[in-house]
Amino acid sequence: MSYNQRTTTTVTPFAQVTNSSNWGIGNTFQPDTVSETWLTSVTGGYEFIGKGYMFGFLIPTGIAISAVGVGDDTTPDRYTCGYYFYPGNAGRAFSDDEFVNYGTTVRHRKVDPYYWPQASDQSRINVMRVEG
Amino acid sequence: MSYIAPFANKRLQIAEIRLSGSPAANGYFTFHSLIDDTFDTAPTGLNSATLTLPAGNYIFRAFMDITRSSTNDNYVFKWEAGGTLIGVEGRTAIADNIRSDAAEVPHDSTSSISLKLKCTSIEGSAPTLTSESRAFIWRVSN
Repeated sequence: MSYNQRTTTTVTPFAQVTNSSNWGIGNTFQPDTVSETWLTSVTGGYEFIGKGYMFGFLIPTGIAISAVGVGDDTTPDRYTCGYYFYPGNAGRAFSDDEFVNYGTTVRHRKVDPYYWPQASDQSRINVMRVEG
Repeated sequence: MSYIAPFANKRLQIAEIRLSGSPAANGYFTFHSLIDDTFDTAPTGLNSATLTLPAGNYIFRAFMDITRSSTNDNYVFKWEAGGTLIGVEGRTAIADNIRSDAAEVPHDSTSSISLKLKCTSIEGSAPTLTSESRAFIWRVSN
Protein backbone atom coordinates (compact mmCIF):
# COMPACT_ATOMS: atom_id res chain seq x y z
CA MET A 1 0.00 0.00 0.00
CA SER A 2 1.34 3.41 -0.83
CA TYR A 3 0.72 6.69 0.86
CA ASN A 4 0.55 9.74 -1.38
CA GLN A 5 1.09 12.80 0.74
CA ARG A 6 -0.67 15.90 -0.50
CA THR A 7 0.65 18.44 1.93
CA THR A 8 4.13 19.32 3.10
CA THR A 9 6.65 16.56 3.53
CA THR A 10 6.86 17.15 7.26
CA VAL A 11 3.23 16.37 7.96
CA THR A 12 2.62 12.94 9.42
CA PRO A 13 -0.31 10.78 8.33
CA PHE A 14 -0.62 9.43 11.89
CA ALA A 15 -2.71 11.22 14.50
CA GLN A 16 -4.15 10.59 17.91
CA VAL A 17 -7.05 12.16 19.79
CA THR A 18 -7.01 12.04 23.58
CA ASN A 19 -8.34 14.00 26.53
CA SER A 20 -6.29 15.49 29.32
CA SER A 21 -8.64 14.16 31.97
CA ASN A 22 -11.34 11.53 32.12
CA TRP A 23 -13.68 11.69 29.15
CA GLY A 24 -17.11 13.21 29.71
CA ILE A 25 -20.55 11.92 29.03
CA GLY A 26 -22.83 12.57 26.11
CA ASN A 27 -23.09 12.98 22.39
CA THR A 28 -21.38 16.36 22.19
CA PHE A 29 -18.36 15.63 24.34
CA GLN A 30 -15.19 16.53 22.49
CA PRO A 31 -11.74 15.34 23.57
CA ASP A 32 -9.43 18.31 24.12
CA THR A 33 -6.17 17.05 22.61
CA VAL A 34 -5.48 16.30 18.97
CA SER A 35 -1.96 15.68 17.71
CA GLU A 36 -2.34 17.01 14.15
CA THR A 37 -3.94 20.16 12.78
CA TRP A 38 -5.32 18.33 9.75
CA LEU A 39 -7.89 16.83 12.08
CA THR A 40 -10.38 19.65 12.45
CA SER A 41 -13.03 20.20 15.05
CA VAL A 42 -16.67 19.22 14.51
CA THR A 43 -19.39 18.96 17.10
CA GLY A 44 -18.61 16.00 19.28
CA GLY A 45 -15.38 15.05 17.62
CA TYR A 46 -12.87 15.61 14.83
CA GLU A 47 -12.73 14.91 11.14
CA PHE A 48 -10.77 15.19 7.98
CA ILE A 49 -12.07 14.81 4.46
CA GLY A 50 -10.19 12.05 2.75
CA LYS A 51 -9.57 8.34 2.99
CA GLY A 52 -8.37 7.03 6.26
CA TYR A 53 -8.42 4.29 8.84
CA MET A 54 -9.50 5.00 12.39
CA PHE A 55 -9.17 2.77 15.40
CA GLY A 56 -9.06 3.07 19.13
CA PHE A 57 -10.38 2.24 22.54
CA LEU A 58 -12.53 3.96 25.10
CA ILE A 59 -11.62 2.78 28.54
CA PRO A 60 -14.32 2.76 31.24
CA THR A 61 -13.41 3.70 34.76
CA GLY A 62 -16.45 1.95 36.12
CA ILE A 63 -19.42 -0.12 35.03
CA ALA A 64 -20.15 0.91 31.46
CA ILE A 65 -21.72 -0.23 28.24
CA SER A 66 -21.37 2.13 25.35
CA ALA A 67 -20.35 2.57 21.74
CA VAL A 68 -18.49 5.00 19.55
CA GLY A 69 -20.10 6.58 16.53
CA VAL A 70 -17.68 6.93 13.65
CA GLY A 71 -17.56 7.61 9.96
CA ASP A 72 -20.77 9.56 9.46
CA ASP A 73 -22.47 12.80 10.32
CA THR A 74 -25.06 13.50 12.99
CA THR A 75 -26.25 9.91 13.05
CA PRO A 76 -23.05 7.97 12.79
CA ASP A 77 -22.69 4.25 12.56
CA ARG A 78 -22.57 2.55 15.88
CA TYR A 79 -19.84 0.02 15.74
CA THR A 80 -20.24 -3.08 17.83
CA CYS A 81 -16.47 -3.25 17.91
CA GLY A 82 -16.68 -0.06 19.89
CA TYR A 83 -18.67 -1.49 22.74
CA TYR A 84 -16.78 -1.52 25.92
CA PHE A 85 -17.76 -2.69 29.31
CA TYR A 86 -16.84 -3.22 32.87
CA PRO A 87 -17.08 -6.98 33.14
CA GLY A 88 -18.53 -7.08 36.62
CA ASN A 89 -21.89 -5.97 35.28
CA ALA A 90 -22.01 -6.79 31.58
CA GLY A 91 -25.65 -7.38 30.82
CA ARG A 92 -25.43 -6.75 27.10
CA ALA A 93 -23.77 -8.54 24.25
CA PHE A 94 -20.36 -7.23 23.44
CA SER A 95 -17.52 -7.89 21.07
CA ASP A 96 -13.93 -6.83 20.84
CA ASP A 97 -13.35 -3.48 22.43
CA GLU A 98 -11.45 -1.86 19.59
CA PHE A 99 -13.55 0.20 17.21
CA VAL A 100 -12.43 0.55 13.63
CA ASN A 101 -13.59 2.46 10.59
CA TYR A 102 -12.32 3.02 7.08
CA GLY A 103 -13.89 5.50 4.71
CA THR A 104 -13.66 8.58 2.59
CA THR A 105 -14.70 11.00 5.31
CA VAL A 106 -13.06 9.94 8.52
CA ARG A 107 -14.91 11.42 11.40
CA HIS A 108 -15.36 10.71 15.03
CA ARG A 109 -18.54 12.49 15.84
CA LYS A 110 -20.41 10.94 18.64
CA VAL A 111 -20.03 8.83 21.72
CA ASP A 112 -23.23 6.93 22.20
CA PRO A 113 -23.75 5.92 25.80
CA TYR A 114 -26.03 3.22 27.06
CA TYR A 115 -24.62 3.44 30.50
CA TRP A 116 -21.55 5.55 30.85
CA PRO A 117 -20.00 6.63 34.09
CA GLN A 118 -16.76 7.97 32.66
CA ALA A 119 -13.88 6.95 30.44
CA SER A 120 -10.24 7.07 31.43
CA ASP A 121 -7.79 9.71 30.21
CA GLN A 122 -5.95 6.80 28.58
CA SER A 123 -8.79 6.45 26.05
CA ARG A 124 -7.70 7.18 22.51
CA ILE A 125 -8.77 7.53 18.90
CA ASN A 126 -6.05 6.91 16.33
CA VAL A 127 -6.19 7.97 12.69
CA MET A 128 -4.06 6.81 9.79
CA ARG A 129 -4.56 9.11 6.81
CA VAL A 130 -4.33 7.20 3.55
CA GLU A 131 -4.71 9.32 0.45
CA GLY A 132 -4.25 8.19 -3.06
CA MET B 1 14.61 26.93 -12.86
CA SER B 2 14.01 24.05 -10.54
CA TYR B 3 10.75 22.37 -9.74
CA ILE B 4 9.92 20.85 -6.39
CA ALA B 5 7.10 18.36 -6.57
CA PRO B 6 4.39 19.47 -4.16
CA PHE B 7 3.13 15.97 -3.53
CA ALA B 8 5.96 13.78 -2.41
CA ASN B 9 5.28 10.08 -2.64
CA LYS B 10 5.29 8.33 0.67
CA ARG B 11 5.28 4.61 1.22
CA LEU B 12 3.38 3.31 4.22
CA GLN B 13 5.61 0.82 6.01
CA ILE B 14 5.17 -1.59 8.91
CA ALA B 15 7.38 -3.70 11.15
CA GLU B 16 6.11 -6.53 13.35
CA ILE B 17 8.34 -7.31 16.30
CA ARG B 18 8.03 -10.01 18.92
CA LEU B 19 8.22 -8.72 22.49
CA SER B 20 9.68 -10.64 25.41
CA GLY B 21 11.11 -10.11 28.86
CA SER B 22 9.91 -10.10 32.44
CA PRO B 23 10.56 -6.59 33.69
CA ALA B 24 9.84 -5.33 37.16
CA ALA B 25 7.93 -2.09 37.54
CA ASN B 26 9.80 0.72 35.77
CA GLY B 27 11.82 -1.83 33.82
CA TYR B 28 11.72 -2.42 30.07
CA PHE B 29 10.50 -5.11 27.75
CA THR B 30 12.79 -6.65 25.14
CA PHE B 31 12.38 -6.23 21.40
CA HIS B 32 13.00 -9.93 20.92
CA SER B 33 13.04 -10.44 17.16
CA LEU B 34 11.77 -9.06 13.90
CA ILE B 35 8.84 -11.07 12.58
CA ASP B 36 8.55 -9.13 9.34
CA ASP B 37 8.94 -5.62 8.01
CA THR B 38 8.59 -3.44 4.94
CA PHE B 39 10.80 -0.63 6.26
CA ASP B 40 13.25 1.14 3.97
CA THR B 41 15.86 0.17 6.55
CA ALA B 42 15.03 -2.47 9.13
CA PRO B 43 15.11 -1.32 12.76
CA THR B 44 18.20 -2.19 14.78
CA GLY B 45 18.57 -3.09 18.43
CA LEU B 46 16.70 -6.37 18.35
CA ASN B 47 17.17 -8.67 21.32
CA SER B 48 17.61 -5.62 23.53
CA ALA B 49 15.42 -3.08 25.31
CA THR B 50 16.24 -0.24 22.93
CA LEU B 51 15.15 -0.17 19.34
CA THR B 52 16.77 2.35 17.02
CA LEU B 53 14.61 3.69 14.24
CA PRO B 54 15.47 6.08 11.42
CA ALA B 55 13.90 9.53 11.22
CA GLY B 56 10.30 9.47 10.14
CA ASN B 57 6.66 9.73 11.05
CA TYR B 58 5.49 6.81 13.15
CA ILE B 59 2.70 5.29 15.12
CA PHE B 60 3.76 2.75 17.72
CA ARG B 61 1.45 0.00 19.00
CA ALA B 62 2.21 -2.73 21.56
CA PHE B 63 0.09 -5.69 22.62
CA MET B 64 0.92 -8.30 25.25
CA ASP B 65 -0.15 -11.92 25.26
CA ILE B 66 0.40 -13.44 28.69
CA THR B 67 -0.07 -16.34 31.01
CA ARG B 68 -0.55 -15.71 34.69
CA SER B 69 -0.69 -17.59 37.95
CA SER B 70 -3.34 -15.33 39.43
CA THR B 71 -6.26 -13.59 37.76
CA ASN B 72 -5.01 -10.23 38.93
CA ASP B 73 -1.47 -10.50 37.58
CA ASN B 74 -1.11 -7.81 34.93
CA TYR B 75 1.32 -5.45 33.27
CA VAL B 76 0.70 -1.77 32.50
CA PHE B 77 3.05 -0.46 29.83
CA LYS B 78 3.82 2.64 27.83
CA TRP B 79 6.13 3.73 25.01
CA GLU B 80 9.24 5.78 25.69
CA ALA B 81 11.15 7.74 23.04
CA GLY B 82 14.40 9.53 23.78
CA GLY B 83 13.90 8.98 27.50
CA THR B 84 10.40 10.49 27.62
CA LEU B 85 7.22 8.54 28.18
CA ILE B 86 4.77 9.20 25.35
CA GLY B 87 1.23 8.31 24.39
CA VAL B 88 -1.44 6.33 26.17
CA GLU B 89 -0.88 3.17 28.13
CA GLY B 90 -1.65 -0.45 27.44
CA ARG B 91 -2.74 -3.06 29.94
CA THR B 92 -2.84 -6.82 29.90
CA ALA B 93 -6.41 -7.98 30.30
CA ILE B 94 -8.08 -5.95 33.01
CA ALA B 95 -5.32 -4.52 35.17
CA ASP B 96 -6.78 -2.77 38.21
CA ASN B 97 -10.24 -3.24 36.66
CA ILE B 98 -9.35 -1.09 33.65
CA ARG B 99 -8.90 -2.52 30.20
CA SER B 100 -6.94 -0.76 27.46
CA ASP B 101 -5.07 -3.55 25.62
CA ALA B 102 -2.61 -1.54 23.53
CA ALA B 103 -0.04 1.14 24.26
CA GLU B 104 -0.30 3.56 21.36
CA VAL B 105 1.21 6.82 20.22
CA PRO B 106 2.05 8.69 17.02
CA HIS B 107 5.58 10.08 17.02
CA ASP B 108 7.61 12.21 14.59
CA SER B 109 11.33 12.79 14.46
CA THR B 110 13.79 14.30 12.00
CA SER B 111 16.60 12.30 13.59
CA SER B 112 16.96 8.68 14.68
CA ILE B 113 14.76 7.48 17.53
CA SER B 114 15.71 5.46 20.61
CA LEU B 115 12.53 3.58 21.40
CA LYS B 116 11.71 1.60 24.53
CA LEU B 117 8.63 -0.06 25.95
CA LYS B 118 8.39 0.53 29.66
CA CYS B 119 6.56 -1.45 32.31
CA THR B 120 5.02 1.41 34.23
CA SER B 121 3.37 -0.77 36.87
CA ILE B 122 2.45 -4.33 37.79
CA GLU B 123 -0.79 -5.47 39.33
CA GLY B 124 -0.22 -8.46 41.61
CA SER B 125 2.76 -10.44 40.35
CA ALA B 126 4.33 -10.07 36.93
CA PRO B 127 2.63 -12.27 34.34
CA THR B 128 4.64 -14.20 31.75
CA LEU B 129 4.72 -13.03 28.15
CA THR B 130 4.03 -15.64 25.51
CA SER B 131 5.74 -15.70 22.13
CA GLU B 132 2.68 -13.94 20.66
CA SER B 133 3.35 -10.55 22.27
CA ARG B 134 3.88 -7.95 19.58
CA ALA B 135 4.89 -4.44 18.69
CA PHE B 136 3.53 -3.04 15.43
CA ILE B 137 5.35 0.02 14.15
CA TRP B 138 3.83 1.94 11.25
CA ARG B 139 6.04 4.42 9.41
CA VAL B 140 6.37 6.84 6.56
CA SER B 141 9.59 8.67 5.81
CA ASN B 142 9.64 12.39 6.52
